Amino acid sequence: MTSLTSVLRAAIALHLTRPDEQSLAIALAVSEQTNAYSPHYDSTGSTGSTDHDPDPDPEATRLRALVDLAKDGDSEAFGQLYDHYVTGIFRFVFYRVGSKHLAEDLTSETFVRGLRSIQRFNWQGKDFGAWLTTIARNLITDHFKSSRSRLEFATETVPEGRSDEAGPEQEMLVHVSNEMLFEAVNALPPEQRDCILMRFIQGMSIAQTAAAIGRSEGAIKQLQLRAVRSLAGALPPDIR
Amino acid sequence: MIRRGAPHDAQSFDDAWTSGDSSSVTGEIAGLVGTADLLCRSAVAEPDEHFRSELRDRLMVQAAEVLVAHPAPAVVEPVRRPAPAVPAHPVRRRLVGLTVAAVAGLGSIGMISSSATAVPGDVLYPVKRGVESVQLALHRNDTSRGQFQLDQARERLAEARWLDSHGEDGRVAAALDNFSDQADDGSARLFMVYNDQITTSNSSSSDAPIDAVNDFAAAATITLNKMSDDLPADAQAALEGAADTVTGLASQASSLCSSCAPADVSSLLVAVSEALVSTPDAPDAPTATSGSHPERSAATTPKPATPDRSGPPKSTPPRISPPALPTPKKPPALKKPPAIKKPPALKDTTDPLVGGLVGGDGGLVPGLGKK
Repeated sequence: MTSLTSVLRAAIALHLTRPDEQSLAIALAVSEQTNAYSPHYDSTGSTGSTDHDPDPDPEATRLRALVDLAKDGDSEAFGQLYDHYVTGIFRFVFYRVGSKHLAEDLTSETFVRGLRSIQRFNWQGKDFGAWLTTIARNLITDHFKSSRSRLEFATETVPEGRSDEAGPEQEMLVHVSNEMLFEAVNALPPEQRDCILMRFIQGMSIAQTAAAIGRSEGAIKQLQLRAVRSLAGALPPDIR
Repeated sequence: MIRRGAPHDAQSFDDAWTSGDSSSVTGEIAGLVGTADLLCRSAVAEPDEHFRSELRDRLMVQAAEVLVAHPAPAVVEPVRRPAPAVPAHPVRRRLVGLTVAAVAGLGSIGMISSSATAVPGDVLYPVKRGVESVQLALHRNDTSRGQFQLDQARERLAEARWLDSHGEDGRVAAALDNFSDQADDGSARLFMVYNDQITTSNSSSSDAPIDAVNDFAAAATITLNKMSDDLPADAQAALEGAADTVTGLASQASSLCSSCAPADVSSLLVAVSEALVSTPDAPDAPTATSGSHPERSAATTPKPATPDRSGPPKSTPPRISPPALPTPKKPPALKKPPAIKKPPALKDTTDPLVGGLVGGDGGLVPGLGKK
């Protein structure tokens, strides 16, 4: 009963954002098939706090409906998906490449490829956010293969963060953490590095991370523990 | 102190992190949860608003071109959709097409090769006849076409003999009728070639077309003689028609080329006449038993009714005498002076040849010679 209510709530929410009959019909059709979608994934919020949501189903259902609408030719639905995932993808790329401009280029290419391939996307085994992250991951790998560029954090291109409510002291701490974070994360082995980026910086769930990396959920749990241990050892004691 | 296992630590860490309640863990795990929380708080990089909106606008423009509706699974992609935007697996399509073509081609080749040994009544027999028609059309001159048609007639005769030996009595008559038709067509074509040689160029004229007809007649005589022993009653009329055809074309060959070695078909007429006499079912057969002048007797014998013949009725008398072809006769004086030759011993030479051709393991009709 709770699930049905949440699904209907998501359908109505989608209808309110896109007040046309086709969108509502498709959204309701999606809500009827929500069991087939097996919505056990948590939502992929960009704030990093999605795992704390007590009821992630409405957001997950809304995202699935948006993907179906986009696959059916609705460009605005893809726009809403972009709005939802762009920060997470940018953040994942930025903390891998260390350059704002390069991160923007690779983020753009990730969404362009996602747009061109979304009609071939299926839900079997992979969440849409995990699918986009896999595209970004492959693009980063290709970039470093082709350019043989050296990882170097460009301090002058540190993106602006959510520092509106932060005081000057905390802002300084965050800025320092950005540089240290980049160096510490990229010093990790590749799988630990990607696990850290996806789980704690991009905010993906265990299931989404497992789908993106191609490991089991149990393996991801152990991987993230090892990664956090390694990272804790690499950070200065006064910061961690 | 007993250290807990890694899976337990991993689960404890994930539970604490997922629930947001680090009070349930202590020690190292609690510290690691704090480190993870520091990571989340530190990773505040966000794309510029300008970049975000510009990329969104660009994606919306591309989405209007790239994203197309799929109302039904069978809808063909619109032409306006750029080909490189969403590759439609061209390699896979080509692979599927090539596979289908290969399977179809191999199947066709197998079917055609299997049809080579088909006999009337088999499923693949029409395929065999179709292939022969194609082969005939591929011959470029009348000599090779006539020769090929005589070969086809030999094949029909071999089929008739195989059917006769295997008790397929109902189909023997049709096979013999086909033999007669193709023997008529092939010999007429060769006679025409021979007449053209006479009228156009004396120097390059050759007796090969007539020799081919004579050889064919001699070989067919042998086979028909063997078949006449135990032919079913309803095939007697077809046998007589085939005998008329052979004797007719042999007669025409000898009249066109007096110097060529004529085929000995007299034994055929005797055998056919005897077969007709010994067959009580054959109507009006005794009229052909005068024997002293077998060729004339065969020519004047009224043809019995052929109720079982599947092909169109034939006019028997023109096959025997006179020759039915409207080709001009070559005056004997224009050719070589008639030389008296010993009657050909073709029977002796063609017996093993025909036997090897139509029967045996390597022949056209395997197992025929085993009877």
